[in-house]
Amino acid sequence: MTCSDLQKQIDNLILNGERILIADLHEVSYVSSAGLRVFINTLKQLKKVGGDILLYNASPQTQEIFTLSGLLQVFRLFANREGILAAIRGEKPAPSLLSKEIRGISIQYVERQVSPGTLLPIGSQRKLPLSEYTEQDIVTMKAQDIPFSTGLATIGENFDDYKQFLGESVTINKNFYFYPAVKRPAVDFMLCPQGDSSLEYKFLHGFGFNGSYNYILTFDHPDRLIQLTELISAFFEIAKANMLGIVLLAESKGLWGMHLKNVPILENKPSNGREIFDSTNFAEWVNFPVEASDYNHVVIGVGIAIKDKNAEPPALQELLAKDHPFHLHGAVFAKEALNKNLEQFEQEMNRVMTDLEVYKVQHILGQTRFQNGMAGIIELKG
Amino acid sequence: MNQQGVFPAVTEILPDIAELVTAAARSCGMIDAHVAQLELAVDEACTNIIQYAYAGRDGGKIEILCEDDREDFLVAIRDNGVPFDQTQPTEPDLDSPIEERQIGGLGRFFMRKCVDDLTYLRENDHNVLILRKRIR
Repeated sequence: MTCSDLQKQIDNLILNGERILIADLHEVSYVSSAGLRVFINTLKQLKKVGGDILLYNASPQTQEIFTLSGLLQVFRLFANREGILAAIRGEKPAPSLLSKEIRGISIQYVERQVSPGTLLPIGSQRKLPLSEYTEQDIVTMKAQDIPFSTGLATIGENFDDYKQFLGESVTINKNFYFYPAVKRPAVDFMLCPQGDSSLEYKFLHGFGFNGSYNYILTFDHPDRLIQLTELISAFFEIAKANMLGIVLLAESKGLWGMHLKNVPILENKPSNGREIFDSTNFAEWVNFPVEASDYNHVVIGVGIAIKDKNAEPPALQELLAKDHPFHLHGAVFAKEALNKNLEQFEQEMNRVMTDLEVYKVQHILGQTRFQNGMAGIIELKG
Repeated sequence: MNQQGVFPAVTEILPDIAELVTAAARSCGMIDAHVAQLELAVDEACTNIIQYAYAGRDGGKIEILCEDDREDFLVAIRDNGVPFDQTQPTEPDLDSPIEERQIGGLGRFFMRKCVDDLTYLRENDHNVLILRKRIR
């Protein structure tokens, strides 16, 4: 096997979510410096995400190469497979971890006793279809009040200055991302330093929520991709509340995302008098996916899901589109492997927001697929 | 006895070169541990030729000639890339933490450790590298 074959196979395993790689070296007569480089790069990549590469069955000659290169202290070489399995068993996470299989999706989770969070509707969607928002419709929200939000929003002081930057937005643990509704948008964002309470967001409509995670979970399907719609219905079999705040962290295996191409304010109102979602205006107004995109990009999704809409007041029912049990916006980051150790969910999310480049913010549709990932769930009251 | 072959200078061909060299070394009675070391040294030498002597240039060739004189086994590796003397020592970084370690020079370091002698000649616009390894 050449080094590039090995690198390809390892890349595929990591992309598919594997974090502990075990390499049987018994048919390897020697490892060249190029081969070591593959192992070293793999180890560096995996260490960042809480993984490891474990080697066993190395011939004396191969072990000699590791010794000569000073890598015996860096790699974990085992005599046999049993040694590796024993080492992995010794490192299993604490037994407080619960697990459940829901329609083939394997979910592992921790449950925390915390009081429910609060869901806060912001503005109204009523002026959206005809693009009739004006300055009077702007709702100013204090960043400190909504650690999580989803909506059409931006930041700025004067309406005439910021109106052109209104667009799909998401707030992820007080970090605000927005994607101006223009022809060639680029994401702008504001990472909120801890303790900075003066920041304000300008919303046309949307919602925010606060609270602590009642559940942090990992999900995985060994055999096929999971659609967002079925993932969210599985969440309802873990959490008990009728309304859930969802914070999702996963690598996309096909994103279906949409966003507005114009700001729905009065001066942009369609001249034919029809709704922006009408077939005559749709293409001009909405960037709607015709196929999945953004494979293997890291996505952080924030939004809400409601199990029984009729049990909630109309103001909350309105937050979800007709026949849709959830409303999520997602920030799409660079391609990178994620650490899926659920104890490090928040740390990993912070790492993504601080280290990775962000490409867009979109409304995420239910066909969006994942292989595995993590989520934090906050049970909400109105 | 001697064995030889001419190969295109691409990394995909390294297993073929290894097969030629190891078969020749075994047929003259070299012990397995020495064969593996020789195989590694030849791999490193050819990888360096592809990367540095030809530096991505297409169409380069690597010639391999194996010989033995009862006590020693010799592999001559010939290429017509830019002058490139692999017998010059390098000092790889063997001590830094993995996150900071720069990988470089390890190939030549291995080569020197794995064979008993290395000789370099530049003749007729060709690099010739001769690896000598004791058979037993």
